[in-house]
Amino acid sequence: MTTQTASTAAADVQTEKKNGLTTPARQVPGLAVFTGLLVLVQHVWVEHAAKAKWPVGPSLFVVVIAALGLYWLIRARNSLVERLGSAGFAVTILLFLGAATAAGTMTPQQMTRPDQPVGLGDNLAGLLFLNDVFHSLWYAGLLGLLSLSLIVTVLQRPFWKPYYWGFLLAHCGLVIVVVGGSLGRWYGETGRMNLRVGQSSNSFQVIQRGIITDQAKPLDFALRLDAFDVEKYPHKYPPRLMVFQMKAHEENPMPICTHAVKEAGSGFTVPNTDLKVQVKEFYPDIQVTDTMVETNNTDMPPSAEIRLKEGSEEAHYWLVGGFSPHMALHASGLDVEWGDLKDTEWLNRTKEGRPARHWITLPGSSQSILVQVGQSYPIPGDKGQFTVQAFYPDFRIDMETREASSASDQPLNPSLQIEVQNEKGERQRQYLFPGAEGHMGKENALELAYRFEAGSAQITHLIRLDGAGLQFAYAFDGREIFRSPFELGKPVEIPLERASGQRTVEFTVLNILQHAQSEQITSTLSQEPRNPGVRVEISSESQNFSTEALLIAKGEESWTEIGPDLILAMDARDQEVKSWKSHVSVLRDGQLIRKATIAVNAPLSYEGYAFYQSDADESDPNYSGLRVAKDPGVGVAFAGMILVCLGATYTLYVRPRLRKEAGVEEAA
Amino acid sequence: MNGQSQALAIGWLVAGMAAYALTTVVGLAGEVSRALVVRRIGAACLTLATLVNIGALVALGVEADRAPFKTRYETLFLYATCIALVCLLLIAMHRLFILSFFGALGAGACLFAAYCRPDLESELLPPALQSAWFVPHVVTYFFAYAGLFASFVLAAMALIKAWRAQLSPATASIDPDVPIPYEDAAHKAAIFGFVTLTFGLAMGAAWGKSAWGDYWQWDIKENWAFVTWLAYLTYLHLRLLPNWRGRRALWLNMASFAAVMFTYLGMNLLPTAQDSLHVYQ
Repeated sequence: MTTQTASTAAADVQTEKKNGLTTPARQVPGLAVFTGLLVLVQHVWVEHAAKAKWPVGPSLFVVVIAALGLYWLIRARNSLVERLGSAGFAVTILLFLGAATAAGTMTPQQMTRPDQPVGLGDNLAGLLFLNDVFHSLWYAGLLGLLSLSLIVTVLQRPFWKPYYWGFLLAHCGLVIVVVGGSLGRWYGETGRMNLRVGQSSNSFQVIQRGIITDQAKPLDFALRLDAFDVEKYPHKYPPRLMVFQMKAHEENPMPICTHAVKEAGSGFTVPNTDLKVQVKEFYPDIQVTDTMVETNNTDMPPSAEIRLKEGSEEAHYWLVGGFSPHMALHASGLDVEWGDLKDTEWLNRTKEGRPARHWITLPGSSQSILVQVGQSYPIPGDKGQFTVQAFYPDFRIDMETREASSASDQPLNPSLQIEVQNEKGERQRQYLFPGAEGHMGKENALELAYRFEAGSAQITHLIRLDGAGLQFAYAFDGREIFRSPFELGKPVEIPLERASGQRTVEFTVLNILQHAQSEQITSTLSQEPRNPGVRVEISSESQNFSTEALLIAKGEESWTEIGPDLILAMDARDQEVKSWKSHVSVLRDGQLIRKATIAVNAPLSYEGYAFYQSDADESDPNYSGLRVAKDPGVGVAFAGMILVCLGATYTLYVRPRLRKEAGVEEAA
Repeated sequence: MNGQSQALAIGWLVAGMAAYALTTVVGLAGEVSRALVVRRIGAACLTLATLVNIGALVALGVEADRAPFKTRYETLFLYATCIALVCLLLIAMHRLFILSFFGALGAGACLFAAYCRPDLESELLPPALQSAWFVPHVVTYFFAYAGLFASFVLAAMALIKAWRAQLSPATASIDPDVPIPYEDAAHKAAIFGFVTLTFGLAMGAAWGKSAWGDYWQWDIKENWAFVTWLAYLTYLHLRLLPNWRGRRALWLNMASFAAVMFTYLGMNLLPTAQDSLHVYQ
């Protein structure tokens, strides 16, 4: 061991002894003031951004505190460098960072959008920006101060000497990680690109602070999804019955037991109970059909088995006497009902009916106007106009693509899409919902009140079956068009009036039961466990009951309650996803540049952008969700991490050996 | 999972628990008697128990048809193995025979926890976990946790020794069979744990980048891993300060281990846990 190393080691030990002068306890007040100042600055900035003007009072307050801090720094400049480079100072910053990070894990993050600032005094989380702490000014300020401290501590030592190489690598490495992270934060880009097979896109939706925004970032190239493969694991496990113990506030309870179902006859006992579950019947791919059967009970109504066929579409069902099922063929309003043909009142039902209506009340007015889709209406006071663009009976919106649609034709969640154009010609889309305050759109939207008036069902095409008279009639628009006797099993061609012209439907009465009751027929379509179902018997000796249940894995009857807070459920054990692969083409000006496959853990990199397989949609096999990232600081950050690893290893393993060989004692 | 392979894994688990239970008895006897031969038998028992534990881990892997590091149940097997291996290493390097007892106690507790709440069946790996980083990242982390467990135990021993020395200086003396003080041993174990944590953290960042496009997402698990790393970084630095070395640093060491346990097992308690990509189901 050289004399130089020995003296370096000895000097290092002396430095450690001197660190005792700057203990963590003495650093806390100064760091607390520093942190508090940054919190105040951010609040002032947030308030300015919200009101677009400077809050004079708080700003002055911040300036005064900062000036006092600067005065203190100047006065303490001689000991400042020593303090900055001390272990105690750096450790105190680490403690502040640790506490902030821990607090951040206990507060839901990124719940506050950048355009909705939290004011002073709302609560502690708002006061300290804890709900977005990792993007807060004070967290960044602590990281910056830590980096400064690390640089000073390195410069205080002869870092060019081999003895200090580990120290240099570890401390500078950490600074480099912070620099890399900062570069990524300031200059990096993150976003989402959702594609369907055959679709291409030359832009992505920007993600800021973890939130998907409306902003689209264009690219110099386009990505086209040529194909999307979902590979699933082979069926490893049979379907199973699961018993859950439901606990309050537990959203995803764990099963307390499971039972693989391969055939009828197996069973199990629920742990810690005497509940026995016996599998009576097992259907790997269950089909449940409701049918009617003849009964001796003369109180039961008659029933007719009907078949309707139009083109390649066929509908088959039981018509129960005394009821009017609403049965649609091609969703075009063809109904069949049971009744006496002598009673002509039924013809009126093909003429009555009213469509849905939309009423809008303009701001400052008590009068409502009837609006229609496709029409434009002026806004009073020459403030522009609005256009009714579309009506969605059952409104849904894709939060990623921001596209609206209707889940069904039923008015379950009616919404009117309008476009408002103000006097400056600026356009803004809004979605109106019934109710004075219901609207969806950006702020400063036109406050319109929307009232939805549902229409009455208009039965335009109606067949009335007189089972007693063995004849039927077809009516349209209040007129009887066709009447005919029928024979069981013999089809009759009926001419239907349609908007697209006259069409023919084949009407057949297959069977008539004088007194009928409903019955369920359960069968299996195949031996493949696509939609397994079981008929189980649940019994308990202590509670003296026995009951049966039909559980269908992919249906509304997938579970049943079997005891206090105990649920029995059928699980299909769908094949789990093994991989998602997006086969893409990179295009520039329509020309193919390259083809690639993107999978999880196998991204595509092109022109600084990286495309990651993020997600897929089980219900849409042609959809692929990609995450886009561009991070100029990633190489820097990883270089820093490597340096930290190497430096920590050297400092903690090699340097002590050098000291030992130099015969230098550790600091006492 | 078929019934036969599940029974095999459970069988190895029970054998492992029994082996660790025997080791705790022999290890404790060695510390009470201070007889070198008993201590060596204790170390031998720990070696045997470790081999059984490794067998259990292998059986679990065969049953799952992959590296068994996905669920809490599986990682408890791994953690027990790592604790035993790290303690054996410390026994070999520094004659810290007391770790026969504590190592067996810790590893046995892990296996017992696994036995109390087993997986109903083995799970398949989702796409994100099918990565070359899966095994090295997880294994590195559990070796780090094992080193920090050993450090925690040795720190506790050092504090107990110091407390007994206060009460009865004549009878409480440094164990002549142990060449280094417990405090020093705790520090060395913490160094191993911290360095391994650092590598594990870097590997996790690399994996996150390749899987999700972001090497740091301020995910809850990542944050607590960071807090744990900061805690031990703080301990290692504060130990350099004259008025912190000794009891204060030892207490800080033990408190930092609480962060390890919270990161590993306690995160599910957080109201924000469901937001994490790492939470065990």
